[in-house]
Amino acid sequence: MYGHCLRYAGNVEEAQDVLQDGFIKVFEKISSLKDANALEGWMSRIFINLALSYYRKKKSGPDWVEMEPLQEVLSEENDIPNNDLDPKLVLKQIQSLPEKYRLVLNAYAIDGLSHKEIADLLETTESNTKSILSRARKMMRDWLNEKDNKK
Amino acid sequence: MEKNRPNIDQLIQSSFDAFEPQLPIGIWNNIEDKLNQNDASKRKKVLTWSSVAAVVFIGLSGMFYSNIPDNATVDHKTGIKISNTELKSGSFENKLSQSLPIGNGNSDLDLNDVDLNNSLDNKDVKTTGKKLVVENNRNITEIASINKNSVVPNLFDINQEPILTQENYENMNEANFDFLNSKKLGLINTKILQLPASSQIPQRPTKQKRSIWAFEVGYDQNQTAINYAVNTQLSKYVHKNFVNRIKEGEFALAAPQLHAALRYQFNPNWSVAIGLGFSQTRISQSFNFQDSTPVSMAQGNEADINGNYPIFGYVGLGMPVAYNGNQSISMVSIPLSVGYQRPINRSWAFSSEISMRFNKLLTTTGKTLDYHDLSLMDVPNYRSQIWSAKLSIGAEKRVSLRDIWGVRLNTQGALTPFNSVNSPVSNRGWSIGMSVFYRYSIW
Repeated sequence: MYGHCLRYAGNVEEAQDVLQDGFIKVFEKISSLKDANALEGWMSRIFINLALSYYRKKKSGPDWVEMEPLQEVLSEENDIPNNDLDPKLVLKQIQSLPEKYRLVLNAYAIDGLSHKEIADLLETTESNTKSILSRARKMMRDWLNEKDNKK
Repeated sequence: MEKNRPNIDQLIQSSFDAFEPQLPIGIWNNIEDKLNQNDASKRKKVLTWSSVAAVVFIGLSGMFYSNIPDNATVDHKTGIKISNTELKSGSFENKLSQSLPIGNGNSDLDLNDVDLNNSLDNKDVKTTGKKLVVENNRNITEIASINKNSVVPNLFDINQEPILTQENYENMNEANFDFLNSKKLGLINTKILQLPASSQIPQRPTKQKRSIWAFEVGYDQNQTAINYAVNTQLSKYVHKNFVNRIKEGEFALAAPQLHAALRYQFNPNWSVAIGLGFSQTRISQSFNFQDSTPVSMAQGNEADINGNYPIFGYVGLGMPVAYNGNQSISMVSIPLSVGYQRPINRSWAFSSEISMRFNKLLTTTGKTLDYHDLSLMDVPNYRSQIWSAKLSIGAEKRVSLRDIWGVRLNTQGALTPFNSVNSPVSNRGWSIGMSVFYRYSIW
């Protein structure tokens, strides 16, 4: 769960705050868990929701202005280098993304939430999350390409 | 999870598959502390809301209970309430038998035998043995309020003297209320007056009633003095030194006085009284005198055979005379008085009185010189009646609704001389002293 927090948070301190609040929420709600086998998924969802809410409620949080979609992103999908990635480097790159890019990329690309769920949690539109996701992917792809070129 | 995700998503996702970051040190302690804080906060909230709920519940219960109609039955002889439970169980008979009237008349009950819980308000009174105790700061209105179940107590002060009875209560005036308010009502007699259950408690009279009549007795202890006066028409016969010498030799004795009076109170301040008194004035004189020939000194003696009134010569060749004269005068008096009282507080009042007294001289004894042979002779020329006046100022204290004690300084004097008109030298007594009196109000 700490990994979830690190991905969504911009730094370690914020990650610890989210982790702490997340576990408290888990202990408070543990009685509502009906299937013990679903504990991990249930906890993950709590931490994800909490992380998204955390940044949504932050006064200095992201400004969810509608963004134009990037049409050229999908055509470059096959150009991604297929190398083994060091998770610490990926984490560092994700944390360096602008906040709204980081949140949407984590929620959609890694944790598998739908655009509708993300839009609801972040109180914005699906088209906006899609546009943000495209830009986030492009930034990550650029980073991977740049990393590959250096090799 | 949406299908057909781009490769970039899978690549990033797979990079975290084996990612297990190390937890920061102390994170569990922080979580535990925060959980404890939350628990405490929760408990506090629960306690607060529980308290609020309890208060609301008690309040609503009280309102509900107070609105329950009182189905208790009241016994008409004793005024004691009998609950429905007691009525059904039959225990009311025992209760009533314990409360049957005893003592003086049918209306008196022993407090021990009366169920105070039913007769009186528990909030206002409490029993200690056979005593019914009322808070000291209670005023008469509050005392009346304890009688709301048709039971009026006879109130007695700490000396067991009656200060309030049913009869008195109905006739109390404003001053009595004020007095009662000031009393330390520590004890109330064990007897209470039982009224029929249907009786209404007498309310404080809206129209002020006064106790207008009072009986009064008093005692004065005074020191007398004598004012001597020379008859102007006979002054040529009186040696100029005689009056001076007789004054120097004067020795006045006490003049006790008793009186009883009936007083009528116009209002709380002014009153008039008429009474009957007895007093005795004793005067002693002792001096030496030597004057002319013929020596003659006697107060108010008639003219001698030569047509001369007793005179004192001017040459001083007469025989020396040692004069020891005593006079004793007893009188009955009818004093007419006007009194003025001004309350200082609820018990004490400034007290003053001025009175005019008609005095009938009963017995008069006195010795004087017979100028013929210089022997002592009885004074023959006292008047039979004189007028006197008295002024007194002091304080009086109300010790109960009816009883007042007072003490005053007084001065009084004879307005008319003791001796007859033809006396060449006559005297008027005056005195100063202290009075005590007792007044009993007649309701």
